[in-house]
Amino acid sequence: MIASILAVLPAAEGIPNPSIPTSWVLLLAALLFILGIYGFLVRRDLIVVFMSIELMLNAANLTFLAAARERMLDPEGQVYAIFVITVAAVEAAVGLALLIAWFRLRATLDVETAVELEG
Amino acid sequence: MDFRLTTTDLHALLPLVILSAGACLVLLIDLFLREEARSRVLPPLTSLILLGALGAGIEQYISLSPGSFRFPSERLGPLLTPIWRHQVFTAVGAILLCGIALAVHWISTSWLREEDRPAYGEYQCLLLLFPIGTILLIGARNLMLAFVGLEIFSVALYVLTAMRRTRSRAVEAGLKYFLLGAFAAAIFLYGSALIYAGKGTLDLPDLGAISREGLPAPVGLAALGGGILFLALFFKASVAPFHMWTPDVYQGAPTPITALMSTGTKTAAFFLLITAARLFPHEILPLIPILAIVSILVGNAGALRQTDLKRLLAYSGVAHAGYLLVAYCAIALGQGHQDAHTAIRAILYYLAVYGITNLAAFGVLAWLERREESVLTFEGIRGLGRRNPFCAAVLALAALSLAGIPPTAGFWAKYQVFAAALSAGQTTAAVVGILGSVVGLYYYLRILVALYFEPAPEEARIPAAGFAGALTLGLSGAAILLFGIFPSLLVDPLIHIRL
Repeated sequence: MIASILAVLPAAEGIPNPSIPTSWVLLLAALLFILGIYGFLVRRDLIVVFMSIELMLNAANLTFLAAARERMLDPEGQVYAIFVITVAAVEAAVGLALLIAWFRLRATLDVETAVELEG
Repeated sequence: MDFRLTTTDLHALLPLVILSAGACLVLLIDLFLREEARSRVLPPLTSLILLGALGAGIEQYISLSPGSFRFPSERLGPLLTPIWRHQVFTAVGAILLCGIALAVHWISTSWLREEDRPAYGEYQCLLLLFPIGTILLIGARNLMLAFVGLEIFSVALYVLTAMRRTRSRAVEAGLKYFLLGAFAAAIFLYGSALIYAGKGTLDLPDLGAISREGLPAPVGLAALGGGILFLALFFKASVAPFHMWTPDVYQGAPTPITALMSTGTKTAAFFLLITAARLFPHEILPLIPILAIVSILVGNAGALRQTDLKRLLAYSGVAHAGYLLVAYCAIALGQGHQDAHTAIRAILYYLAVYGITNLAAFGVLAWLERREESVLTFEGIRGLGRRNPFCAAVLALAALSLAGIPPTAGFWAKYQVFAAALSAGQTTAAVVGILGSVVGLYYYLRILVALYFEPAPEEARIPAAGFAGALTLGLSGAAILLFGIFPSLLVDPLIHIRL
């Protein structure tokens, strides 16, 4: 989130040529996205897995904002970012509710315990 | 900018308006009702809302078909034009999805009543959210709108899957579905973001107006984004090798919800694959026949060794996604738009037939499912032909239709899909598809053998299904036969589809 705020700050102050090149921001977003995928695939704690998904969503947000800044502060991209934040909130609500239901039944948040459905 | 909605806009959004207002109404009324009043008021109200939306969809279809009475102008206002597709395509999608939701609602009423604390309001509100999300996804001309639709129906499904939250299998299925679904959604979103970064817009280009050569191929960031988006959609359509979640989630979810997932999600995902076809970079298009072949092989091989019927149908769903992809090759790789339109019609026909058939199959399973979920194996349907001829006949028809045996609708669906692929020059994929269907015969016929040629176990109590459930099963069984004997009943209405 901090990164996404930084991406729009120079533009918000009306600086025509932002000091950080767009390609750097896109690269940072790509790194965050890959980090999210890595966390999703490797980590065993369900909360961390969930956080990795949030990281991926924010990487998309950062990409939207950087691309919108590149295109003369195109409102389209900025509105998309707001849509994404809303959707991420919905997902977080449902996801955390599921995690609580899971913890009540199994008293653990380890991914490896989800093995009842196999065949 | 003019932000007013015109009457055409409202006409275009009518199914969505009915469903959204209905979902809010159901939640509100639920608050003011006593426990026993809920079971009497809410299910009929939900049926009424879904029937209303279905009627609105049919009305849209009729007024959009050429040669019929038209509204003074069927052009959308300035607000909706860039984001909404007011076409026969969308109307067909709305009809399909409202029909699926209605059938699931009818299948699930008796199941819901058997719960310890039936949560009518929540269940029915979420059930109404499902067609809202999928219709948004189908009608969207903009990827962000499609994403919002995708999330609306996915979130509803996550909750519905884990609805019985004291049961460990349901919660496990819900959690797995949520984690993998949210992962796919994040990938979808990052793909869209890259497309936006590359092209500066998230509009979905029209399919029919331009052939593949007429449109510049996506390059750079947009191509990368298109590729990523493509993976996320295959995940939602449960195409192998992105199908890992399917068997577990299908098995753990309540059976009516499995029916909703297997029919509705696949329908929505393939509609979006069709409308987004021009966003995919040309480099990855040759992958589609390969993925189709892999899905057919993995699905059929997986289904061969299953004894749990829900898992068997899950793997069969993977194989069916493969057959659908065989026709999709004609859209993605075919040369003129003649090929593409034949393939679109074949896919829509297949989705409709697959929806009806799977609803029949899962409807029977939901009927047989006792509270402890012990009858969903081959063991549980042994000798059903004598114990309950009606259930057995519907399940047998569904199995025959899934296998693609001639007097059923499934035969024509497979025929059209393979014919579309062959006429577009996709011989290899079509041949593998036909061979795969032959392998599939084995496990579908195993169902028939268990139904009719094996002795029934000693204790044989079949729970009552309730009127609505029996009606749904009867209707879907009849539809399988009717569309099998008179395929033109379902082919002709799809002729006007243009994109």
